[in-house]
Amino acid sequence: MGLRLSPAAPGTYWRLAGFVAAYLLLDWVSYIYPMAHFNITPWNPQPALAIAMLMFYGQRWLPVVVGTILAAEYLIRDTPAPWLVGILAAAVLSLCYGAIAHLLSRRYAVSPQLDSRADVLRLVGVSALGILVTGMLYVAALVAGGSGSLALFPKALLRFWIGDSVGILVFLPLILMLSHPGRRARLATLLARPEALAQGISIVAILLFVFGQTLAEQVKFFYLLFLPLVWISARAGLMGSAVAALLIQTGVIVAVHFTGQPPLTVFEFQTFLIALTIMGLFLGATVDEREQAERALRKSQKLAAAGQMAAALTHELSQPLTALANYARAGQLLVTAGEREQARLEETMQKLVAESRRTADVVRRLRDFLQHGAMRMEAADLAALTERIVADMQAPAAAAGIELRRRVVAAPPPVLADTLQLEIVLRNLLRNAIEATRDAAPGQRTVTLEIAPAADTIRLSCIDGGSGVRSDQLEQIFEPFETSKASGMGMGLAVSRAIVEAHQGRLWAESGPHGVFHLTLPAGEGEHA
Amino acid sequence: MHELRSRYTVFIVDDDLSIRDSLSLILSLKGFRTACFARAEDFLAVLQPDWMGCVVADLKMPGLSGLELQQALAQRQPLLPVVVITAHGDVASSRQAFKANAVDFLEKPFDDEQIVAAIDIAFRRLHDGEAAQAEQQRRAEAVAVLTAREREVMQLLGAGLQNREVAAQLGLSPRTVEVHKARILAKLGIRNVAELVRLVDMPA
Repeated sequence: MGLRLSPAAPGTYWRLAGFVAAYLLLDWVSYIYPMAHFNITPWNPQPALAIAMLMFYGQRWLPVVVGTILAAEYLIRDTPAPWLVGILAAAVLSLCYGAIAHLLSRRYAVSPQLDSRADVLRLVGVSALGILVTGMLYVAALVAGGSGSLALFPKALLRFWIGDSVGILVFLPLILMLSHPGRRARLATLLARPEALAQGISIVAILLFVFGQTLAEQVKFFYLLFLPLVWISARAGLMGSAVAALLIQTGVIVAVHFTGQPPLTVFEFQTFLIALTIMGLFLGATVDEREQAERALRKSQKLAAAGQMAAALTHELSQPLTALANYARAGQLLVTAGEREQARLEETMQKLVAESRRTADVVRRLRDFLQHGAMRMEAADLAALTERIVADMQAPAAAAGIELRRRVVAAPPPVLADTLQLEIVLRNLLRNAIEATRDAAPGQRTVTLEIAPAADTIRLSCIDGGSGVRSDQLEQIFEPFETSKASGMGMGLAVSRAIVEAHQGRLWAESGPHGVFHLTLPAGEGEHA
Repeated sequence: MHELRSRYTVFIVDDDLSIRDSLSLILSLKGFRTACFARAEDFLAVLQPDWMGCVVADLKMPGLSGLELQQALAQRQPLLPVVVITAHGDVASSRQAFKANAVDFLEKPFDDEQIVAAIDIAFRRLHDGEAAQAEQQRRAEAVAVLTAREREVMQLLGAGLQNREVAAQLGLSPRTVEVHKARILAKLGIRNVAELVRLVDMPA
């Protein structure tokens, strides 16, 4: 766990006092339907707290756990065990919790943010088996101490196992995840979504429906609670499923309290809840893993964009560098030729300067990209962006005798995008379109940029008056270094496509009588970006 | 070497204006004659059979690539040597270029000395090719003036047969074969039968 609480650390005693208070509170709240002589209840969340405390602060605080359990026994229980038995039971429980905490932080170490199914599997496995052993020792201690009869051993063990398991499975993942800043931030985002309210309401509504039935019917309809849990796990991952399990558990306890269930039914509910919670945890972890894989993929796409950019710029640098070297050598030769080559020398020097400007341009672009290399996603106003770009490009279009138009089919919603990179792509598409239209017939000398928002994507189309892309070249033109222009290849379609794909969009060409390029971007908040 | 430079032309095919212009300038200062083309198609459209020189072609161009130009030239003017230049060389395309008999495969930015060396090698190769072709031509013309009987005798002598064996096969006297042999050697301008054997073995 890394985090260990030393007695000398500031705030140590406040933290421990907080643990003791929280433990006693949870024990008090969950002290319902105690089984006679064994004080075994159907819901025991407080062991999760003890295990988490030992995982975070270290085994040295085991005596605090013993003391707290003892305090709980004598402060909360109606019929506390005799002193000796109570101390024995507290010692057994503390040592078992310590062993579980040890296994979870060392032997079968789980990361607190529980970011894989393997973590969840270890957590569930160690908890379930650990609590089974704990139950055996605890019940045996009570039987040996004369608090309960041996005949009740199996029943007591089963109830202990159910009550403590459900308590740990609901609480421990939640406590572990809340100790992780990233997970806390995720929870805050999740709760801020309107969907969270709807999900919470659905749980409450189903609970009301289930417990509105007659006592005999309630268990029959309990399975309906799987529905909101699946919904929440699928949408919000492990964090969501853990919170949902807590909400369901709390709801069940409150409902049971008000409807006055027989103890046996409560244990049935809790058994159900174990299944529900485990399913939620695994579904949530699977969803999280898929999201992580998607994030990794996006990152690699961004790297691909950077790689494409670097390759394109290398290509663009080597062209002017070759010319520079040639002009410089020519200059040397012309100088030795003396007076009669004066005019050619001057001309060559001018070209040399022009080539070095071209080189500097490429370097500037490389610097812009590197400074901007990590994508800075912000809400981009496509209407304003395209308007500005089209206005900027009017001059070169007019110089080529081409009419450049913008057509907004409907006002686009804001998209999450790196504005500079998107601008590079759009300028590149328009520059290509103008080049392609340069030789078009008089009636067809137009380039149109169209913005058409759809349900979940926004499509930007660049339509030129050129002869279009041959159907067998539709993919080839996106190969690195492919160019259809005679001079200066701009940023290249390969780089443009890499940038668009890093934005979760698509860029493709359509074959036809004229050149048509489509670019789609995901609409909406783009919460995954 | 410089005699070849003024005799042949360097055909520069590159879509980048600066490359064409600067390359043409430096090569002309070094005594080469140059001609520039922005596209491979433009070059192929005007190419004449009597154009002799070296083609310096960019690998990636709009339209036909440098490698495609190389293939087209192998069909039309197999003698013309090709130097491929590129701003992004990869092993696959360089291997392809060399397989198609490219003189060199230069990655930009390259030194003027590198390109000049490559072009000189290309010119030497072209010159040797031309000489071999001329020699072959001369021989073919000489063979054409032989009579039918003399050509028969030449084939058999070239295959390594003795005068007597040739005489037996053609139904002539060894003396007549001797006379034919002397005429053949005189007409072809060679001195002995050993040279004759080599000539007959030469591919037409």
